[in-house]
Amino acid sequence: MTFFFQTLVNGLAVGALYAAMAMSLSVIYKGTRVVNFAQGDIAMVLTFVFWFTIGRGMPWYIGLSASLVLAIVLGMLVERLVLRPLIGEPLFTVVMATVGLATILQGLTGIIWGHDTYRLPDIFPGSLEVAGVSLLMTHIFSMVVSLGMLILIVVFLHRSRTGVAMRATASDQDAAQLMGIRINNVFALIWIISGIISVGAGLALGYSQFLSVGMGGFILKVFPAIILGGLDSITGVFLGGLSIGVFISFASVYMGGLFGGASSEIISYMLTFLILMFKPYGFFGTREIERV
Amino acid sequence: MQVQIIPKRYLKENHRDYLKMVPIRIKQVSLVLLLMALILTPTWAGGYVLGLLTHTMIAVIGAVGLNFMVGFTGQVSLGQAAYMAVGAYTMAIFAGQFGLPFFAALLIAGLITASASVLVGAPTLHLKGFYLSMATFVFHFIVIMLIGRWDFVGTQSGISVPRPVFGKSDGSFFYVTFTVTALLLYCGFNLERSYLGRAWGAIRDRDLAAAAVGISLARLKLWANAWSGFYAGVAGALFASFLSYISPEHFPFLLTIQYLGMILVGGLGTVLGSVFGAVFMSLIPEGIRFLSAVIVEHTKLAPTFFGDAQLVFFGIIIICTLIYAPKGLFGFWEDTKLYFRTWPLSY
Repeated sequence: MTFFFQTLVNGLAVGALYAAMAMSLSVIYKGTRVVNFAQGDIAMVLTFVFWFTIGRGMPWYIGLSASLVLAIVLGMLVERLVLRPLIGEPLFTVVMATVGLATILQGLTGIIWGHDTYRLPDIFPGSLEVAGVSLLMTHIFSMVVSLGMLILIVVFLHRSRTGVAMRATASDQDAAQLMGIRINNVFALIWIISGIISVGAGLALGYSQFLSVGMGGFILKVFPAIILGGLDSITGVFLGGLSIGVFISFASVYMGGLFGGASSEIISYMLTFLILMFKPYGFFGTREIERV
Repeated sequence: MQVQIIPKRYLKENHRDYLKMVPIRIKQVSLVLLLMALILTPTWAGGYVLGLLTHTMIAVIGAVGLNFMVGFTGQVSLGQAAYMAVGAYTMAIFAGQFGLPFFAALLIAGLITASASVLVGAPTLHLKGFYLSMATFVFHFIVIMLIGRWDFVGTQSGISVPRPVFGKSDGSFFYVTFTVTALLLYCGFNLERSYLGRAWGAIRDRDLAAAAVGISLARLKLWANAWSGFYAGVAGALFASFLSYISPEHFPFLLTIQYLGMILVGGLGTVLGSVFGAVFMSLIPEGIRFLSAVIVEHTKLAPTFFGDAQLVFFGIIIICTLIYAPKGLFGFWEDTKLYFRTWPLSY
């Protein structure tokens, strides 16, 4: 039974990473209908900035502020330069723009910081043991970060004036504009918020795994979680992320022999295919209705 | 309303004019010249140029195939690399392990990939846009991971593929690729103007309207899948023979992105556009390689600079195309022709 709980906790720890990244994608999709393939690379760049700053002997809060500031600047720049000219274009166009952005970020990071694999300095050493189940402090960190961000976003979206304006924009852009909401500002704000979530996601990812240019590829593993949860529901993708993490953890323990060792990921992708076939909008997503 | 004075050579006066593939004399002449130049290339060119041209022609086949799916039918597929991998491994198995003749294996590779593509397309017919692209995306990872775990094809370490040799010349594989590309392009240009091509365009522009005028969405989408898969499979098989050694690492997700970039830069929904795009995007990295070699020599940059510069440049090209030239190189070409045709009047 301890083993079962250990597997569950490990799954939740990985799932928290998926959930954090998935939330930053979902915030953007909900507000602007853009599926941002560059999200992983944005998180990668922000984490690199954090690593670079504390590598220069600065305390962690300076590093955190540096990457938060960059998140805001980057978010505004991307929205202004890349996505605003493409408002109203088909989804494929916008997705390809974010893909182009992703390759630019990867290339620039590679030129500046090289292709080595780095580790963030261990500021959360050791582990905690509860009833025989051991918990790495980094895992606790990523779970706390991810849950904290979920609570913050949900409270922000439902309690603050700006958050309500953002939800109004997500629901109907024209009507929101008629009510005096500045759509452009809302879009910029959405990108900034998603950048800030990316800081959390990137740090959680950097602490529990490692830091490299290829880290942005993590986003590709997050898509099953998003499909499961429903693309435009923030709580949905959070739960989707946790479930995919737990699912992969159990699959690798109990079905590890299948497909010669890569079973867990293959099974998670196959699961995604099945969800797409039978329930394409996930468990919490809004069904897209097409008007003739 | 735009009024154009059309010179007589552009007029189509009877049905035979419509059937002509290359109706204008100057186009005929330049096509023949281009073909002659390509045929004569092995007589003077070295291995580098031949390899580059062969690679470009393979890219042309793959890009045309992807364009059937993405540009013509509007079904965003992220499975190009996986389809090419299926074609490549079919080639490796049939030509390498079973010892079939090259062209038989090539045909089988195309057909098997087409079937795979239809098999993916059939259960996902009801999906659109992002959800469809996710299905093909997932397919990519399933295929690549399964190949990487399959002992028969050498798991992660890969498998060797025989390269056909006809005669003694170095250029034999160049001629093989050239012939296949020419055939498939002929086929592609015909598809573009046939019922299939026009029906695909209708589905892309408005699927409900297309269904309302009697186009069977399911059937036509599956045809798009099949043709796209066939082209991708042939491209993959040629790619495998060209490299003469393949492993799952040769088919990363980035390959799909590169092909999408090609058709995007070339122009969505036209065969000629995908040719332009494939040629452009295959030749640009060589230019960057040349430039970055010079830069690396004079500065202390790491040798990985080339790959990174290529990525940055690729992204910039994609974003600039999307924002400033959504019709791609093909649109640019058409606009330029129109400008000179109507010069000095701008209308």
